[in-house]
Amino acid sequence: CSKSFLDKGPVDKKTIENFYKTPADGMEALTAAYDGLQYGDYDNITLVSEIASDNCFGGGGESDLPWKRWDRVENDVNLNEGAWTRYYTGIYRANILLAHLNDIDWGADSTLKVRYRAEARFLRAYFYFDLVRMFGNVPLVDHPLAPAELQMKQAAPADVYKFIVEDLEAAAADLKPVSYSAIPTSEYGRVTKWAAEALLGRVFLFYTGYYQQPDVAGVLTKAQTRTYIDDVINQSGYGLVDSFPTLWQSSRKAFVGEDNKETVFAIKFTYKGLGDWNKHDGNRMQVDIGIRNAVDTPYYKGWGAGTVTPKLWNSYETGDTRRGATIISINDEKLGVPTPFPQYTGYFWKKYAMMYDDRPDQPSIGGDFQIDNYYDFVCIRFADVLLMGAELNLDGDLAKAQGYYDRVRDRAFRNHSHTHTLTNDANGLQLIFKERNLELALEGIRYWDLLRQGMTKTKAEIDNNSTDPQFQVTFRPETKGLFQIPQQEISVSNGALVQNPGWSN
Amino acid sequence: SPRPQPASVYAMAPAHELHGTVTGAKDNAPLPGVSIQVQGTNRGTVTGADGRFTIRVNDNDVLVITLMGYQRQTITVHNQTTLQISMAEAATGLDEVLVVGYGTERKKLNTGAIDHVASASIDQQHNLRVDEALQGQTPGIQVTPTSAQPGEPMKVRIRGTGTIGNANPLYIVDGVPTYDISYLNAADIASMDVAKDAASTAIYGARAANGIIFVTTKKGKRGIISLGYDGFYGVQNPSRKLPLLDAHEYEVIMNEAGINSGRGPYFTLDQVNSAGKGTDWQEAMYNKNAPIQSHAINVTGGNDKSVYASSISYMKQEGVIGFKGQSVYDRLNVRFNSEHDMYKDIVKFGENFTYSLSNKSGVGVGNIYANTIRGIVNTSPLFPVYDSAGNFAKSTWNPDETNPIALMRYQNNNKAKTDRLIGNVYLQAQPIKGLTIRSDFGLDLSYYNYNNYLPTYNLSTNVVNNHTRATMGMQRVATWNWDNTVAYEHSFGKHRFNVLAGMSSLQADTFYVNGYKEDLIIADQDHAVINNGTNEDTKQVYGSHNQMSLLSYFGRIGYNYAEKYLVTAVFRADGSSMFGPNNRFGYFPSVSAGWVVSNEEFAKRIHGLDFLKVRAGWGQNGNLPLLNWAYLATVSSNYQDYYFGSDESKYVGTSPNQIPNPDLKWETSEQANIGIDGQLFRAFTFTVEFYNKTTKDWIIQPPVPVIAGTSAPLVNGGSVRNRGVEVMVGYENNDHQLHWRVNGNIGINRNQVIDIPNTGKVIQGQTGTNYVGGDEYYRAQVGHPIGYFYGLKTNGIFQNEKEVSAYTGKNGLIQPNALPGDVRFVDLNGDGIIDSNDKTQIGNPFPKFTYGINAGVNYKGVDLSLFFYGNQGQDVYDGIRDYSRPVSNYTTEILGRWTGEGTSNRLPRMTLGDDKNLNMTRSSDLFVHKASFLRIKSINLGYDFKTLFPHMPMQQCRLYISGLNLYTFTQYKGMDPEIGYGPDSWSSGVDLGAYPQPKSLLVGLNVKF
Repeated sequence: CSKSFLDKGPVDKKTIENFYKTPADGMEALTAAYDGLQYGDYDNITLVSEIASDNCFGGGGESDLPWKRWDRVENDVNLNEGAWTRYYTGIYRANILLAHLNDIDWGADSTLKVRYRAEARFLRAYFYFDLVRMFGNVPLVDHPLAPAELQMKQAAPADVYKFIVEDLEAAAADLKPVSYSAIPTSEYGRVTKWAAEALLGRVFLFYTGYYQQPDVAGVLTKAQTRTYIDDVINQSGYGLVDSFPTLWQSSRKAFVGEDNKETVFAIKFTYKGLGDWNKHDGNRMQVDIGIRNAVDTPYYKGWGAGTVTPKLWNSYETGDTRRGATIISINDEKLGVPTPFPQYTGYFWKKYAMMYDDRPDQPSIGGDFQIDNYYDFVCIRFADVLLMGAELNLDGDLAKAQGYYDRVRDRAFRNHSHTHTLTNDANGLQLIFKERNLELALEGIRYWDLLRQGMTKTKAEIDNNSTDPQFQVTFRPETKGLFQIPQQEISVSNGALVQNPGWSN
Repeated sequence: SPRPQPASVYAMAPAHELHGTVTGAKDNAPLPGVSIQVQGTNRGTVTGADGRFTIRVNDNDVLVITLMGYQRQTITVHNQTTLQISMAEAATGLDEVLVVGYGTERKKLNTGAIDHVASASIDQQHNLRVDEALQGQTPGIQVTPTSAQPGEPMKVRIRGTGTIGNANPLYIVDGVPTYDISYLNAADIASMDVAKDAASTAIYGARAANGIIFVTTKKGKRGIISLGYDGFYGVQNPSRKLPLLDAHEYEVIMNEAGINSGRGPYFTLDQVNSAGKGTDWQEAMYNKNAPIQSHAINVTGGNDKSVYASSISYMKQEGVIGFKGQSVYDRLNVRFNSEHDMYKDIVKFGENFTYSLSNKSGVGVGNIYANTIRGIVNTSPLFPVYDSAGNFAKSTWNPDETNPIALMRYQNNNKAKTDRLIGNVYLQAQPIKGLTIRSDFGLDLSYYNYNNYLPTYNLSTNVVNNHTRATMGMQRVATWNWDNTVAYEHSFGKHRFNVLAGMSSLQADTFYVNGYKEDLIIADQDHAVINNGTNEDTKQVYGSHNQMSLLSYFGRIGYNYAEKYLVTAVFRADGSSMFGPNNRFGYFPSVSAGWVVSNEEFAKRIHGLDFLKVRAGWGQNGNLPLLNWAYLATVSSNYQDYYFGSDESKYVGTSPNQIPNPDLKWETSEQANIGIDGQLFRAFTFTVEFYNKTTKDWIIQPPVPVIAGTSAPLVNGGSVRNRGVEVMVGYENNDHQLHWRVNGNIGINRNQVIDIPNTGKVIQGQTGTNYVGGDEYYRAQVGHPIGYFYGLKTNGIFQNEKEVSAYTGKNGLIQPNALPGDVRFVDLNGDGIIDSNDKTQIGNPFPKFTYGINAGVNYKGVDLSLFFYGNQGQDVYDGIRDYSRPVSNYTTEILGRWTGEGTSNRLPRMTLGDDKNLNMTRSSDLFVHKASFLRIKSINLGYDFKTLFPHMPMQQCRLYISGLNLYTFTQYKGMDPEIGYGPDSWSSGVDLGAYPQPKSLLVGLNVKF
């Protein structure tokens, strides 16, 4: 009698013992890992890395000190707690699914199991790659941790990259080579073989550049990477859309749409959270980069973060269709000048700018303009894959490299007359780096591209000696470009974690 | 008026009738209402208006004669048939009867640390909340408001904060356990007994670690019917304003900050010169002369079969902040207690029931989000409350800035209603002398419902709401307990034994639903119901249901020899559904002993020593935390959706929401107590207590590295020690005409964390709780008080470049980024850099001691009482200014900032918060302020017109005026030094803009027929 009287339990929750039973449970567990992609607000890695680079200032209002701190490489205490937390949350969700894969009754057909495992491993690698690029020295968690394991020391970067490569290679091997046109529209947003291969290229280039190594920790060579990238370029069915501006929602009626053939991997966002701040289903970066406090039609309002540097605007040649599609110029577009705010430059993000006609708080949608912006964020765009291909083939098959390069540049100018000839030397590489920023500016690529060119180059590009003190930026090479590990985590680790060089606790 | 009563019906055919008269010793006047009880039975009677009584007795019966305010007497009948009894007034409370849990005990013979608080002490405070009335009445209990908004709960701590979990005491109201006594009306309370030590509380074992407050409501008396009215009406006003910058000062300061931060000035010289005073937002937020009122009608009475007490009362308090009627609490109480003799005084049946209906609405309080007062003190004075058209004005100089009065209006349209029915029914039998069998069923039923209306508004760039919304919520919590006890007491010779054994089962059932719907057809608060909403896409609904149960067995053995040597032992076993099968039951023993020195022959010869008792006790208690299936590995699907496909189809995501701990077990508090009670010269009383209380095996959720990926597990570990001294002294002069009394109490408590179960021996405080992005500033750590203030020490301001360059350590400049006017932080560890390793204890939220002083005088119908309450030695962490917004307003203290060499050595130069030295970005002692205070809590002056007109048909007709909280002596510069709020339940003393306590003036009337 006493036993039953004291035996209560939750009526609104399952427990691990009665979850992870069916393939549907497996999909729920996988979805939880995907959900980790959507997090990130003012501290979204794309926005933060663009601010840290030479493309953007901090911007925002008087109160928005975090953006200014990222811009000026300044100490704070817990600036990066959000990023650190969300990546480890995502990693945990992938780990817990992987740990319970064998508890699920998959039936006779193991296809789903192989696929879910591959997607989980891709997601885990994706989270780790963001994490390790930002912080450099991070604990390597490869399974759900027992309480006794939580005071974990940081792993050698090579071990983390090795782990990332292994996950991505496994994902690439296990996922079926379904070409873009054969992917069911209901599966847009899911990880593909092509995404895994393309990410391997990005990992290879960053690691070998930043750490000045010939390969990734002995597990991924340049030759292998070329094969992966060539495979994406030639076999995936992905390609460039005809006109660069039509890639972006700002082209309105001409917009080719989300999940277009250039979208190798994207984070799916939706307005369907409809004002619920507990949900992270919207693209919260979009309100941050909007024109501050002003509805300048056709654009909708935002907080003015990451004001674009005149340097980026000026780096485009006349005739390059990408300038007007990448950057809003208040002058050129004859827009109303917003109320002055810190680090206002007159240039804003046009990629991902929320358009007035698409605004989430219009009556027909009913969302909140702060959290329900809903443009998908394209993490890996086919143009990036082509430029990676060009870079990887520069010292191998120069003609192939030139071909990839031309596809990107010719599209931008709508003709072949602006091409440059690549050479297998530093000049050739510089042409590719330059093209990467012209093509991929404000897509969260630039800062990492600078870092892999070394501290001297990074400092030279980022430093700003403006006479106006608000624009002065001094990169600190002693940080090696790594971000400050949140103080809270160092405290809680009780000495297991060590702060990155150049940052104070 | 009292009538003589016939004698009772007898249980055991007594031998003869006894007639008696009771008179007062002082004036020989007959005393009505005196209880004459045959010891060990339920037989008894009371005296009539003429002081006479009649009772049937046996020769060997012992009569117990009691009357409130008089010394208790016992008389053995032998063969007497008439008795002349003279009663002396009780000079002290030694004959008070204490509630000890499943029984009572005379204070004289009690071996634990229990303080009795009589209704008179409670009434004089005129508190609408009973817990608040305990403040300062007895040492060792600290009562602090977390917010002084009407109807908000108090933070009640007995002998310090013993846990980082639930540290609230358990209340036992007429035998029914509860954690919330907000439903009680002070006028219904006969007494409260605060049980502080382990020996006194052990009978409630698993829930007793934080102390127990026994509340006894008023009961009827046989033979007396009495009707009374108590009521008062008063007005309340804000007691202290923050001295905020006016418009001119604000513009000067902001310009200076803008210039120093490289931004340039915000305002032109012309603007600065013509700015004037600007808006005083504080004046706009006040609801001055806010009314407070309370009315209670009591009826008590009884005959030889039944006694009853019943009352109806209503109270209402408006807050001093908010629009009229926006911050308000009211409560209706109906109470009924009765007891009936069912069979020949052997079987009794009774019940106590209270129904209350309370309504509460209020402005935003609590943390930094939606805190109305915080918004008001951080807004620039540069734009008016209303524009020329009478609408809420918008900030013209800063589109980010929101009109805080508009926010107060729009975001605080809430109504919460609570129906509470709490009470018990019991059946008690005394089949043979000394044996009592009792079965008691208690019920605590609470229905809470909540209604909120959110209008549309557009106040600033990010304070915009496009959808009207109606939120409704409802929660039912039903807790029942069924206690069965057997008690036996027996004396032979000078030996007296009593034994109690019992079992108790308790179940709490919580059921709630809430939700909202937007776009209302009729958009106002009266129509803010879900059915008026039209938006199907954004509607939300939540709801759940859970149960918890507790099964307990307990026993108590007491023994005394000649009322000289006293021993009590208690044991309790509790099993709870909150724990997994591994550690479901907890076991809690205690033992205590006393020596009544004054009953020894040698002591009886000491002149003036009326009473002296030395007592000591030891015991262990548990603490039942509020857990959410922490022993189970639960998975959750909340907010983990993802949308795949071109049509964005929703997929539900699921993952574990916590790391389980199947071995979780009870927190245990162990306490030793030594006490001395004494009385000298019939007028002077004292009690001194020493205690040492350690709570170990805390159930805590220490933050773990987020690499865990999900919520940290709850674990057992950590301990905190509270030890202290409590002293109560009283003097009472009972002169015939002039009666005066004064008593004081002081509680000294030292809180120190002894252990924390992680390698750093620390539980970090939450960051970002003083302002968005704020640093960690409180923590729990071994060797420090729990929730101590944590940060850098400062050592003045760098006056010039030379001082910056002179501040060197082993790596050269200690603060290379500092400029003249920046803060010089102390490099505590001497490593040559300033970082978090230099952080240390910079303040203590706990007072060194708390004290209360009560004084009263009565003279010919005039009564005057004074009550002072004070806390000494505690600090407050000043989180009022929102440093995440550089344009937040300041108090005038900032006018003393550093502006050049020699101008200030405490407040740094103005910046927009982006200084590289992080002057105000890091937690430091600049935020810690001393907050000792002494408060005039109440002054009451009354006159009983019965004295003037003795032929009035009533027993009492007292008119009084009272002043509450009239003045506070303190050096703290905030609105109120008494700050209970802390971001975690174990933290306190954090001022984020706390709703301050008002000062009040009342007029009241007590009438009794």
